Amino acid sequence: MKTKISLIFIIWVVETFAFLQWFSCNGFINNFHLTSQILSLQIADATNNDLGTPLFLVRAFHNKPFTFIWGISQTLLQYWDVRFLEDFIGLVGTIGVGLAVWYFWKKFRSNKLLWILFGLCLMSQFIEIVHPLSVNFIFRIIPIAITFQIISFFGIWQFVSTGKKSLRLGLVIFLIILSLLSLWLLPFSYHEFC
Amino acid sequence: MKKIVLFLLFIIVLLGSVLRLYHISTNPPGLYIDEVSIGVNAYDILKTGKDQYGTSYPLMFRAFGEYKMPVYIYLVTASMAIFGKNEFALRLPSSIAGILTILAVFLLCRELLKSHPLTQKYSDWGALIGAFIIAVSPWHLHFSRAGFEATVALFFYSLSILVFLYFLRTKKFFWVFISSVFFALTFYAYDGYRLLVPLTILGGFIASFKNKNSRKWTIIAVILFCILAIPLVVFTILGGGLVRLAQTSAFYPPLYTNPWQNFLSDMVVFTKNYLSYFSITYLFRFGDQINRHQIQDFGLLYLWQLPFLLLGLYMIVKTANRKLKFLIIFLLLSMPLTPGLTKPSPHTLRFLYAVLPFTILTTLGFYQLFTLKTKWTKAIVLLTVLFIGLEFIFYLHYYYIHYPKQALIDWGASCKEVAQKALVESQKGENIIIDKSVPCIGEYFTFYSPNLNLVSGPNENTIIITSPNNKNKDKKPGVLLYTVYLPNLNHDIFAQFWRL
Repeated sequence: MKTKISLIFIIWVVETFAFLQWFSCNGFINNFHLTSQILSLQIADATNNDLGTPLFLVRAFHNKPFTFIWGISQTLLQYWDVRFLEDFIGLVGTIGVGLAVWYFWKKFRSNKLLWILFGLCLMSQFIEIVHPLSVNFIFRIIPIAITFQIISFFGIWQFVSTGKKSLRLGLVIFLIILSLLSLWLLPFSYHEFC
Repeated sequence: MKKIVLFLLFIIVLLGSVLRLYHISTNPPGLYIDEVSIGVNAYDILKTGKDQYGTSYPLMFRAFGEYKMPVYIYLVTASMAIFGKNEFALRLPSSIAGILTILAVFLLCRELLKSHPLTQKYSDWGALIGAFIIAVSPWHLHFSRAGFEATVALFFYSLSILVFLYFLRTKKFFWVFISSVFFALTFYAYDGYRLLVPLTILGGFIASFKNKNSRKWTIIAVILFCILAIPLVVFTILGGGLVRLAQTSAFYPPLYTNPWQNFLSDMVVFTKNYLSYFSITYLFRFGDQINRHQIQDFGLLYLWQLPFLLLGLYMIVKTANRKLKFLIIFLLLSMPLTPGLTKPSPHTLRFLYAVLPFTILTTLGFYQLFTLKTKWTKAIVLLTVLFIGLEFIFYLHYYYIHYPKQALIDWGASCKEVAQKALVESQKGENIIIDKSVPCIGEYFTFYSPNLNLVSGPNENTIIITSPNNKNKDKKPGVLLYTVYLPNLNHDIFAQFWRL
């Protein structure tokens, strides 16, 4: 038990280090947003390529409802992307989130707390996507970071509590080392999303 | 196999054929440089039996400072012998390989599902779903419609695995012998399989290890493969076969001068590259963002595949079907190894073989859903079919209406017109100078207009071809004879012919 708690604490430190890089960022790139302006621009850009196509077909393919549903599902994927999460909460956090999804589906589907946690995570992303609040960027992404961190702790906790514990513990420690190496040797990779 | 299954398979293959053959000469809009190089070499082999550099029936074809694999070039040679020297003949082998892959995937899914009592009952229907998924797969469709060696390699690779599975079931040497031949063909078809094929053979060896008979035949087949692979291995080590790896290595140039820091950073870079191939935005949103590799606003897989992929993954981990579990996990873990060593990562073309496990996983997800007996099953199935239809129609709209306009430069559009116009002028006795600013490399002219009267400096009867990117664009070199426009909305100037 003590080992697992210490492990989670170390993971929290690593993930916080990864998150601290974002203090020098002013905002996410456009891929993370789907405001009404971006939506209008996307439709205009798409209809430009339909010169010569009958108008009813153009409207059938490029309209706000379809583009919004399509766009929101794609934009949400951006927040769950492996490459983004590696820079947002570190490599160990990314694997933790993946494990959390696995264990949630496998054993904890009836757990209401987890549903609320995932729901809060998605809600904070949704708000950032459609209507970023008029506050400092860091305050906007703190809820996203915290929910992801808690989800990853859950995933890692379940992972080291089942199966061959010593082997799994070793794997997690290896991931922590890899995360720290990544932060040290490739410190600017988060610029891709900033 | 039931008649209805055969009939539906025929419909799916027909659909896949139409999607892969309709307008392949004009969409993608033009030939990209590798296609042109393949075309030039194939035509030279057809006419003279030698490549551009005078080597008779070479094993490897020199191009752009590296070497191309031979299988696709010789297939194009055969295609050109029938259809002539044109875009259709160049792309046809890839399309045919794409169509045949649909059949290979059907048989592969069927073999995997039949191999265990739990999945045996609806194996034919599951296989039909797999065939349909690959028939309409944006990833596979895109590369089947252009002259990509990787499509042919994927076909041979699918066959290799299928035939090896037959061997595991029947224990007959014939099947493992055929499998080793197909593995060898795969090996010679595309660069990216040079690590994957040996790894797959190793995986096959492990799978057959327990049975004494299987083990014996597998060893003989491995020896046969090694004999067939010797020329390529020797060339790779001694003949410049590593040039491509050096050009695309993810570890060059080194990030640090300290060798230990460099080694550790290489480890981190490789891990990031490896994981990037499982990136959701890469698979479902942007691809690798190289315009030639997928259409904008669409990923490599359909969005509706995501829940089925996850369901399929869940099924793989839980399944008692060890053959299926071993194959999929092996493929998923080993496939990013080779492209993970290269840059840029992720890369859609180099990872094309992953369409196989992703298709099988989606099929398993579907299988899981269709065999569920809940009151919601019918509703979910109907909703799924609706989403599939909608997304497919959207894809076709983007592919046939948007993509030809968006990807003109990437596919060398208008280079054909420039080359053909240059040939017309050359046949009138004019000498041609091609300014470096013209974005059509020499191979375009070799393919479309061989025997041009090319000169390096101005003299009598000289025409110079320039582009708006020309450094001296404000200084007119002479009298404007002809303008080649891009077939885009703005009709931008692509190149101009000037009489000096």
